[in-house]
Amino acid sequence: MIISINGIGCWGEGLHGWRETKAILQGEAQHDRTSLKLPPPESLPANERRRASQVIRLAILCAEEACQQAGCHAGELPAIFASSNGDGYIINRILNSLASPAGAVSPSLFHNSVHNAPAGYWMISHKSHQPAVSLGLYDETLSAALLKAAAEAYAEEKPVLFCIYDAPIPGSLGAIRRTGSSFGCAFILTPAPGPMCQLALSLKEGQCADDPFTSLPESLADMARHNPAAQILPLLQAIAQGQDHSFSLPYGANHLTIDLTHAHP
Amino acid sequence: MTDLIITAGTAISAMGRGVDSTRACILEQHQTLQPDTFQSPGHGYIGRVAGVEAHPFPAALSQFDCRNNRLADMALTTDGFMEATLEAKAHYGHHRIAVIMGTSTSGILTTEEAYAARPYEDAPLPPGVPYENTQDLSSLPRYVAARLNITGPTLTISNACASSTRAFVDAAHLIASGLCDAAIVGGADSLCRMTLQGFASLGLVSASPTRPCDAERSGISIGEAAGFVLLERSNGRPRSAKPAGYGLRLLGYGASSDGHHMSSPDPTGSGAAHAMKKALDRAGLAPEAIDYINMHGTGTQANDQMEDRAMASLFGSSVPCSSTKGWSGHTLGASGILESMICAIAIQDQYLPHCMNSRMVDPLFQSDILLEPRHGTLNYVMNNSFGFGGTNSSLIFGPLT
Repeated sequence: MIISINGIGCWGEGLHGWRETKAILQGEAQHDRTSLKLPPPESLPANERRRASQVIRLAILCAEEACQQAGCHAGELPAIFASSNGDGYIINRILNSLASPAGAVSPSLFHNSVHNAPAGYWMISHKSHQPAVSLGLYDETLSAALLKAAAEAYAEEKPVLFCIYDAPIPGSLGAIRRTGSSFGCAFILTPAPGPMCQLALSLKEGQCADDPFTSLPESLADMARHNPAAQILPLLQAIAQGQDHSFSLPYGANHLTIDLTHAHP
Repeated sequence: MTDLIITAGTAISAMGRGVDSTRACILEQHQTLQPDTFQSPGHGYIGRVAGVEAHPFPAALSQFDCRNNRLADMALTTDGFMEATLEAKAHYGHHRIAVIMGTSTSGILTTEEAYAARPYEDAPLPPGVPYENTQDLSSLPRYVAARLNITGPTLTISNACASSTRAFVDAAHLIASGLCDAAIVGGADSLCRMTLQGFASLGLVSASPTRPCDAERSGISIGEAAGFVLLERSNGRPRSAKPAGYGLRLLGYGASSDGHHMSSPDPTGSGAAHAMKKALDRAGLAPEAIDYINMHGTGTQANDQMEDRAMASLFGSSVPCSSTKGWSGHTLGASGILESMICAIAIQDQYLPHCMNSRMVDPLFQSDILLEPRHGTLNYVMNNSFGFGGTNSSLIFGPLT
């Protein structure tokens, strides 16, 4: 399956937008992992902006930037959102409430706890009737969701917004589901060759043995190993460096191979 | 769209285990909702599946043992579903069948219990708590794939209460793009304190058994369910004479967003109508071709009113419709897969189920809401699901033959 990337958004710890991330991946800037500033997304209406959690902000900042870069109208795109952990901050707070003697749950935390909350906020902010799906598959969320996004673009013959994000889970649950840092990335994917670069995706039987993260600077390799969404960093590095690149990610009994080629004018 | 059929299907809920007992529940009008004794203090009524705790869970897969996967296993071992997948595997190969599951809360009950057992708040959970194989969203499709020995792509859709309906759309995309030849599509959502307390905190749980579309409806009764179908191309392989459980033809699907509010549906119903219209367009059917709509019909004031408006905007008052959640309760992310089976039973029996428990239709409604069951000619039926975040999905089914 061949799809092209027509816009990129990327936010995370020490990665404030695609421009900053690109410079780091090109080796022209240092990655400061200690800083994470997520500004309120411009596209959210005031009410939603107030209610949006950090995880929702992370997802929406990425989606917003990818749409701006592609120059496309956000409200016209079907969306594929993906995350392994969802909103760990909210899930942990609800689990704490349920374990307390009263056992009562905050109503706003409850409706924000659904895995599709960022997708809901995104569609609300654009008053959009476009469909959105919210996916999760533990450490294989990227393989599953990228392949699904490409399949949707291909089957519906339409560009789609792909947005993947993950953040640490605090509290008791965080002790058994360790996620190192916050990271998110969004693409506008078009089922045709584009002006920037294209991906050939294929699902192959059997496990893959190679470690795709060795070419990354150490702090980013660590992110990629400890945040399921950040597994996309080798792809972003090759895009930033303008290099064609192939790598594989595990996907159950199979693996997904991603072949990146740049458009050559 | 690619011509898709369901060659095997089943589901379990408080209504019963599989096609025959669910059919009996509908025809004999069983009362299935019971006071919530799942937790203390309980809230309203629940649709609880009998025998979940005693179900023999496969020892070789005990790492997946949790209430949600127990429900899934009960469904897999009902109506000959597992046996039917063997034939498909022999034809396509185990790597060419996908597992596409919908769930909202997966096996979170296991983590709830682990939190309750902590010595103090924020105490680290012990390493033995099996988060990855229970609460994590991947647990259900990985369990189903392992149980059926299928190795194609797996995927979990978590679109709140529209999860397993939306799973059909994602499966159709995977089949159409050639990533698989067939898919196990379905889902499970099981009773847990998170949803029982969460919906109660929003004031959405009815003190009495839910009465969808009733003038005096007062909220939902939460239920649990699991169900699966084997979805494949209509010309994918020579077909056995009789489907395992039930068979259907998937004629159309439509998905949309409200773009309105996180927990309240758009009162105009325009987002929901959008999903129904897309399903009709994809099926190439005019609204008047639909013979029955199995509504989302949760029993809340806002949902049922919105859904009536959305249906009336497309169908006027000409299409009979009902919600079967008066029997099953609202089985959240599993409602779509359960109600797909109810659509199949309706087509098989040429019998339209009514809104159980409901006595007087909301006088503001325009749709033809069934308070009594009806016999009629059913060719094409629609199944609606909507969820928090303003996520909507509609499916259109026809008879298999």
